[in-house]
Amino acid sequence: MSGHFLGRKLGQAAVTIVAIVLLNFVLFRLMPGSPDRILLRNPNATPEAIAAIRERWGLDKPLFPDQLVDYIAATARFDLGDSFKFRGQTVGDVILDRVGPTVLLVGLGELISVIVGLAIGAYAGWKRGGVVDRVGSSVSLVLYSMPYFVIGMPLIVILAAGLGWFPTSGMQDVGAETGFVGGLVDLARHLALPLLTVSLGLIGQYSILMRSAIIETRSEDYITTARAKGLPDGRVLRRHAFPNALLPMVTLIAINFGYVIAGAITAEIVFSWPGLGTLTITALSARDYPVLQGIFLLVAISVVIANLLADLVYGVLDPRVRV
Amino acid sequence: MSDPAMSDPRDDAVPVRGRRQWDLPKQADPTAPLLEVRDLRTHFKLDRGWVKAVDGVSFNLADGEALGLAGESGCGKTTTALSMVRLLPENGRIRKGSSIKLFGIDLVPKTERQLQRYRWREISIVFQGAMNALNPVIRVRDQIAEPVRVRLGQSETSSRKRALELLDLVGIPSRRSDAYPHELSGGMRQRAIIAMALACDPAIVIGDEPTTALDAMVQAQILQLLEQLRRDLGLSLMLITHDLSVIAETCDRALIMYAGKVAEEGPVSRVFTAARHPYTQKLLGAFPNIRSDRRTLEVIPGSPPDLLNPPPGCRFAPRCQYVMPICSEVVPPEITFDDGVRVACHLYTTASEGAIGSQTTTVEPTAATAAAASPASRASA
Ligand SMILES: Nc1ncnc2c1ncn2[C@@H]1O[C@H](COP(=O)(O)OP(=O)(O)O)[C@@H](O)[C@H]1O
Ligand code: SF4
Ligand SMILES: [Mg+2]
Repeated sequence: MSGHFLGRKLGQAAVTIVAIVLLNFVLFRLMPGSPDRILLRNPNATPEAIAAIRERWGLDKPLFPDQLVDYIAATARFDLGDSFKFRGQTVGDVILDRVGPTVLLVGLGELISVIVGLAIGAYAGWKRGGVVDRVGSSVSLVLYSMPYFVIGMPLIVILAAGLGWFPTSGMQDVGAETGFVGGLVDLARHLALPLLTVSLGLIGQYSILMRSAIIETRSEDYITTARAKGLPDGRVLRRHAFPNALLPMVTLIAINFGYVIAGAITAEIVFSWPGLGTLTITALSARDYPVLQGIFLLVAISVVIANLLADLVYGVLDPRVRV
Repeated sequence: MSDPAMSDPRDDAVPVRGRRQWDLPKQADPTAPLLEVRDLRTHFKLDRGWVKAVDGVSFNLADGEALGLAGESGCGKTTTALSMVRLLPENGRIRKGSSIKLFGIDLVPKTERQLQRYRWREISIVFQGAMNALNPVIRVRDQIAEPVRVRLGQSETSSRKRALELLDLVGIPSRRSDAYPHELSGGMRQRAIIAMALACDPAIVIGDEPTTALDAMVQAQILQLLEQLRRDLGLSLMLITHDLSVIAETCDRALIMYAGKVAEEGPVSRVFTAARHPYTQKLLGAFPNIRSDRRTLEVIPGSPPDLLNPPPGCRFAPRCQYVMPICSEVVPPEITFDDGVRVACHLYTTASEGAIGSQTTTVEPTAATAAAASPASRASA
């Protein structure tokens, strides 16, 4: 991969992030219910009190350039302001508290789904019309079309509430076992169902996409060449078809990353998983704009980074883009 | 072991085969002809029925020989080639009664797994699309080395060494050996594919329109390369093209196909100078000067029949200027002449009714054919 390619992709990502920061600024100032009114929550507030608040938050200054400049400068310092709801905490602190569980859920979910989904999809597409294909494709389609809470609810009802194999919610038992191993087991039991929910939906989606990518690749001339070489079928699939079918998948997975986060938010709510999803709901109901703004910024930037990573991975996998 | 008297009497058969670096397959009959295709029928299944893409094709390929396959697009050339190593599209079937004998071993009843032994080690194919026949994400050198390592069980080092030798052989400089396919020009890519086809030192190389996608000068270079390799390595070549001049220049024998059947087959010197089948005559008529004019074959009026429901009798009848009543009723049998030319046309069977069905009867051209072959009758067509 040339430095030129890397530089161009980094430049694109930087431009996108600047655009997101600007959008973030505009979006949250266009929203109904201005922050000062929400901050006060007091219809009888005196004009003096309102003015004080407005000055405190810089709302008395003109939007452009003062507020914008302040906002950009603060964002660049990772200073996202103070939370309305969690008094005394900065937005950074509030989000940082909740980032870990979401990263765990989304990260592991992505990893499992990519591995399992691509494997199932590749095999199903390769042996099109076979047992794996027929069973896998219909199950995948069902899973793909189900919202996360529809996947998650039966899991809770049967595996958690019914059979009691897993806890129904949260990330830790109150007064959980101490010690590293005990804590890990407890975490795993809590993680299992939300992770399964996120993964099942994604596996369905990735295997459907991978299946059609493999089917398309299968009819390429170089696959006929590989078969003409008398290579074993499995080798033709792994060495020749899979790496090529993977190329469009890398982009699709990256583009999809925003939806994965959105899906994880739903799953978090279903399982009361203490991540950004549940935080979003809390912040929404409290109209905690600074926190929402922070979450929005974080999610948007991680999608940009996911796409940047995808571009880089693509560059490694496909020699044609290295020029 | 078959009766030696039945085997190919050519004296050079043994030396060419003896040049092989690798053992013949265990069941091989060393005295059998290299390739004997008999009554090959390859059909494609569609909802509406079977497309009879190849329907009763027979031919031989001797050691060191170059056979040129020609005919309009859609007449079954590619299907014939793909049938040899059974690389057909999923809906393709080789029907019962067909046989493809390599060293006397019939490949038709082989399972997919058994057939893998013969692919590339015995029969390799250079496909038409130089652009797409190479895997875009694997280095050219590694794609050439792959069959050497996987099929011949050679080490990483020696298979790579072999790949570099082959690249050198086809005229790709060693400094380009790291290249990915997209980094090579069309001509270079086709050279690399030829190198790949030679990797396991196969008995037969099939070229399916190996130069069609290339510009004229590169075409000439690639053909020259094939010629030279054939001489140097004693390759047996099956060259598919719709460019008759290529066959005239590079092949020993020509097989003219029409609508899934052999129209005419024989030594290039005979077929091209004294074409007997009306279709061959038309093809040649479309090439006033074989060596300089490269017009395509599409200039023949009318189009090939629908192979889902081919006409009964002769498949060329709807387009033939000599068509007779019998032509649209009876499939013309193949007649072999003294000069080694085989023709399927009623013009040559009416003269000797009793010869129908025989493959070895000698028939002299009738008056009608003699006239057909004359320039005057061509001009009136
Ligand atoms: N997979 C397929 N299904 C149905 N018909 C096919 C298929 N592949 C080829 N054919 C038909 O078989 C005939 C022969 O095709 P082909 O062997 O490619 O001809 P050529 O190589 O001489 O141009 C054509 O009429 C073509 O339409
Ligand atoms: S058999 Fe009849 S229709 Fe067919 S090529 Fe001969 S003369 Fe023409
Ligand atoms: Mg073809």
